[in-house]
Amino acid sequence: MIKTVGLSKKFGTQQAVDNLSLNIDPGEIYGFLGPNGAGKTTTIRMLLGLTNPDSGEIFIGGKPVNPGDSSYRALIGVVPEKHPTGMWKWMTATEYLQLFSDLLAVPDSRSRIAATLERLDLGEHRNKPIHQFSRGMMQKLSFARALIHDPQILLLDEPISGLDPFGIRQIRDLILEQHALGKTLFVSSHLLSEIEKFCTRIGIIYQGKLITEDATDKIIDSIIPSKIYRIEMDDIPEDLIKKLVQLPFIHEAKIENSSLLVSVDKAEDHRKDLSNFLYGCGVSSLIMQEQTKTLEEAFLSITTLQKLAKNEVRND
Amino acid sequence: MIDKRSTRVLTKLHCKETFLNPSYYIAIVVSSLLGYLPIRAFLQAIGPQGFSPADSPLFANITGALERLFSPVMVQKLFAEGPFLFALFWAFTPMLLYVLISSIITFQQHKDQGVIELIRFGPSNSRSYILSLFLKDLIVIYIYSIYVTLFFLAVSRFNNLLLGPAFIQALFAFLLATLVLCAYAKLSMVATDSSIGSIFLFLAILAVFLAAQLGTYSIILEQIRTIASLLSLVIQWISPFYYMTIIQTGFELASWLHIVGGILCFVVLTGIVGFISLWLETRKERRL
Repeated sequence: MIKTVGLSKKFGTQQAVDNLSLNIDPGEIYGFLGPNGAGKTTTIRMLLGLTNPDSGEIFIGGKPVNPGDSSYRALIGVVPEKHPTGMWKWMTATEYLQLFSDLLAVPDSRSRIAATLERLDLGEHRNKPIHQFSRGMMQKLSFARALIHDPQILLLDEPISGLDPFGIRQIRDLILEQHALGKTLFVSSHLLSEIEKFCTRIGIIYQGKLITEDATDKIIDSIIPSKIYRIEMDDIPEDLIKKLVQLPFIHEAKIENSSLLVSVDKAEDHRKDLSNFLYGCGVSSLIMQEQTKTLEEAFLSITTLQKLAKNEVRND
Repeated sequence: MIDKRSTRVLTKLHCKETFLNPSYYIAIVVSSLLGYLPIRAFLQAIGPQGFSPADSPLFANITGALERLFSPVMVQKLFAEGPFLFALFWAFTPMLLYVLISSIITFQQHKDQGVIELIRFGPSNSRSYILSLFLKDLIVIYIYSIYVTLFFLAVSRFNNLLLGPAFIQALFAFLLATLVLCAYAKLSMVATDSSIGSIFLFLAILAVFLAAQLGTYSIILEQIRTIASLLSLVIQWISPFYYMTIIQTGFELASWLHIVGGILCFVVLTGIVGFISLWLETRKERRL
């Protein structure tokens, strides 16, 4: 549905996007992650034809995107990171959506606007001036605008940023609802804990380059090779750490916040072995819990490795 | 490429925005009052013994200053049909400046706040957006010109004054000049990245054209006339005021060649300036 081949863009001496190749299938929720200034927004702008790439090709819906051609944008609904709330203060939510429906020639726009506002719980605010809308309501209205022409692709730039937990949940549900309808979603965000809840695949961009791209769990597994167990005990003997690290399946052991953290080979379940060993040492565990690895940890690990690699190259 | 639907929708939006803005009505009132001022001065000069400019200090001051700047013949010509030709200038100019400058400010605000980008997701493009602002300016000014004509017509009827053909001819020329001035305002708007810069550029363009045109009529100093004539020779082809004089000459001589030629020149010049504005904006957009 969205394909880029060798996409590059330079601003002065700054390489914003470097030879970026993406292939997003129809019906996917693709999470596009990267630290600030990694090239996410430039990529989105290039996908929308708002910025011309220096080189490379873009295909939307299987068709190549030519510079200056905006006809394909009807296929796309966009939720930008920042919503211009300063202008059109006099507009109501209905008038606002009517403007974009007219621009997009949406058939039967009135009933569609009413239905979209209802679906986003904005029905009772339809005649309210938009300058009275809260950040969350404005974000939902932005979503309504993006959905008004029933696009095949949704490009969401930081869709949950600045929302309260209730708002985040509503937007997440909406994303999943659109996914269930077969829409392709391209989500750029830095709220990784949320992204991992709904993205089917993730791409991590760093300094314009795509560092890794895979299913969320596969990325986590590839970056964090071991399992971590948190073991709660009444008392931790002084020599326990020394004894633990001598075991062949243990990578690392440390004490953190009066709990024992043990990093083990992730290929097998070592909980029984650990329990037996601790029992043999005369201590018993109150709780043994596998620590869940998060996308955030994987992301930080990847970007830190990239930073270190860059610094090493510089130092050499 | 310009998207017709987007242009139509956005023109409607800009018009609505203007008509909902109280400053538009303040500008109408101020412009009307400024237009009424010379009429009032003219009326004060009409006494029981007939027309006596000395009876109205304001009128005497206005005509005196104009005579010193230009020539008594020109002033005579200006007030030959009464005060409405001069009043039209006073009623039209502030409104024209208000509309064009407010469009420049709107454009820069929309640009800064990301409204244009949002419209471009629409899908539209900034060319359609600029053209819609241009059309809005024309619509707003043309509606205002209808109001001014009706206002002056009412004033003329109440005071037994003549609102003659010279007024209609001048109004016609003004409306044509508006086309080109709107295009120059759009060029100034896209040429710089700030409201202040755009406004200064537009006022500078306007001042140069006015100086070149009015300077040629000046009688204060021979040097001013010579410099203005030379300047005019260079820039007259891109000045709306030059084509206004061609149209006025056409009306005076009853020459259709001058009138039709003048209209064509206005349209072509508007097209060229408009095209340059859109080309410039597209170039800026692509560089992003």
